[in-house]
Amino acid sequence: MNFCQKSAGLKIFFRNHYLLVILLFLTFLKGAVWATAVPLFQAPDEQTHYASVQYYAEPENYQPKSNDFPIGKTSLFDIKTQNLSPELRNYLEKTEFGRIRFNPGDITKFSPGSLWGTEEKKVQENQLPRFVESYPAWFTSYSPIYYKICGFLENIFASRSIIDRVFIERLFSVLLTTLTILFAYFIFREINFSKTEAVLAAGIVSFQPMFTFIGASINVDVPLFFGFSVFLFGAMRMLNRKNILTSSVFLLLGASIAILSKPPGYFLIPAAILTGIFFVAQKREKLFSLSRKQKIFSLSMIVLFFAVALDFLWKTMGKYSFALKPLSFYWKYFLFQMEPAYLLTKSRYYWGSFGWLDTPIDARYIYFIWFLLILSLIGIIKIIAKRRDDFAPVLYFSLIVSSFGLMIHFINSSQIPVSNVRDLSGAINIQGRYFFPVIIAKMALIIFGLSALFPFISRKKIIFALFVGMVALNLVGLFDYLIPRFYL
Amino acid sequence: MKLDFPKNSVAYLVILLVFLPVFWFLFQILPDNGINFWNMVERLSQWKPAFLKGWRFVALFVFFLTLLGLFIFASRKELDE
Repeated sequence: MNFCQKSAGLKIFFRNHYLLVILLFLTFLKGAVWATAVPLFQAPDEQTHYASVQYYAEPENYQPKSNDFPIGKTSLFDIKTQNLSPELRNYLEKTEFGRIRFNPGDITKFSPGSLWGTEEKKVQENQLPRFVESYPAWFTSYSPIYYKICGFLENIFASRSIIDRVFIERLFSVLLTTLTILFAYFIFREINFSKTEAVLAAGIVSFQPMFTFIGASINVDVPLFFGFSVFLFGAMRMLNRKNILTSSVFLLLGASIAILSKPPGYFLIPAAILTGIFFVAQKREKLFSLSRKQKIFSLSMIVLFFAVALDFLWKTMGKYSFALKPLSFYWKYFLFQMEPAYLLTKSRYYWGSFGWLDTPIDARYIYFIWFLLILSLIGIIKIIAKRRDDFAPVLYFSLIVSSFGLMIHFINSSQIPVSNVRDLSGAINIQGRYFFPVIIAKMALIIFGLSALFPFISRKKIIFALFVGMVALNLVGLFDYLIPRFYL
Repeated sequence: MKLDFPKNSVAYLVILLVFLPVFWFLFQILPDNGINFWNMVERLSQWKPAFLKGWRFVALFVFFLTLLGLFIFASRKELDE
């Protein structure tokens, strides 16, 4: 293929997919804007994740000055107890991280009449060591892959200030989020959305304010979201009679990325089994029509997948205790979770609660969202009860979303003492970002549900309205909450 | 790439709705509370990467909002067809 043919092909691609190209560019740009607006380390646990990045960026022959950092007293809420590099500690002190975090009334002291305050100038000079001076280093116990990639960027830009480096690593998260949105588009195409509908539906996911906020920070959750999106794409292809080999590859690739990112990725093992059940139940004739080579390849991939997954599971699960509690405890837990005030707090964590979850959006936005969610739930029940054409993907997504939610609640409840269901001090808590791995399935369900409930309104209009609403909510989050919180 | 704007007035209402938070934000930083647009930009520019200082910072925001407006127009146009 010569250059002219290539450029003509590219032209045709852009003409046919220009909305998708703009959406992806917009997703990246939006991420960059949010990464800029959120002060460094004012996103949940970001300094912990960055400390892990710096640890994995250490050269192989790195020797700390000492090995006497007192372990066992680390508190997530007191940076004095955390083993951070001198550079990171200095930045957190200079920007008064401890005072500003959790205190929406407090903002940075701005230097009048100067773009570069004297303290900032010192930080930009980049004088302090960027690796911990005394071991043991403080880093998270998750898989190191994400941190190692960020650590690679950290070393490439070693001569630049910590501000530049953190921002560049945030942009890596934004890139992963953009890829997640690309796969969201593919998934919506697989469930028979037109090109424009799929772009706008992917846009609904992209502009979800809390998803944007987390997707623009250094956080190991970001590759987890990406892994889930790749998995769901593979699952949808498989259920759509597409080439079983490539579908399996996407399925396995997505599951591997998710499992190698964070423990909730293990959810994709039962999800893979569920996909298999759907496949067999739905397309039995297709399974038997595979060639011998295809059958052998698929079977060996499945065996390999389960071997790797079980191996990881065996090694990881030993660290945690998931003993069942008395049934009465789960009933009390359920009642506590359903209390309106707590329900509101959790919903805000999901839709928009910025900084260290200390800046929630107004309750009225949440009440409106609840109204839409109830309507879409009625629509979903209608689809499942009447077994309409879109019954299969709706049932599949419903099972994925609800079982993933149950898993998060089970992990959370296992960390709460039986004696007091309200004691969340040792629990992961029900934070919105924990549910984002299944956000694409959830948004698809909302669209399906509303379309089923209002058959006299075309689906494309419903999607467009939801997209506009989500963009508006995103801008509300950015301009009416996030920027006033940290700068006004 | 088709950029002829839709004739449907809904598109323009949508744009207005979407950008209401931006207008509201601009009202918030009117000079009466001591913060005007430019010292607002200075505040936002502090503790930022060296390559995003000053006008580049404003350009990023403006470019994002412009592209967002264009995207909404273009997708609305596609849906009309």
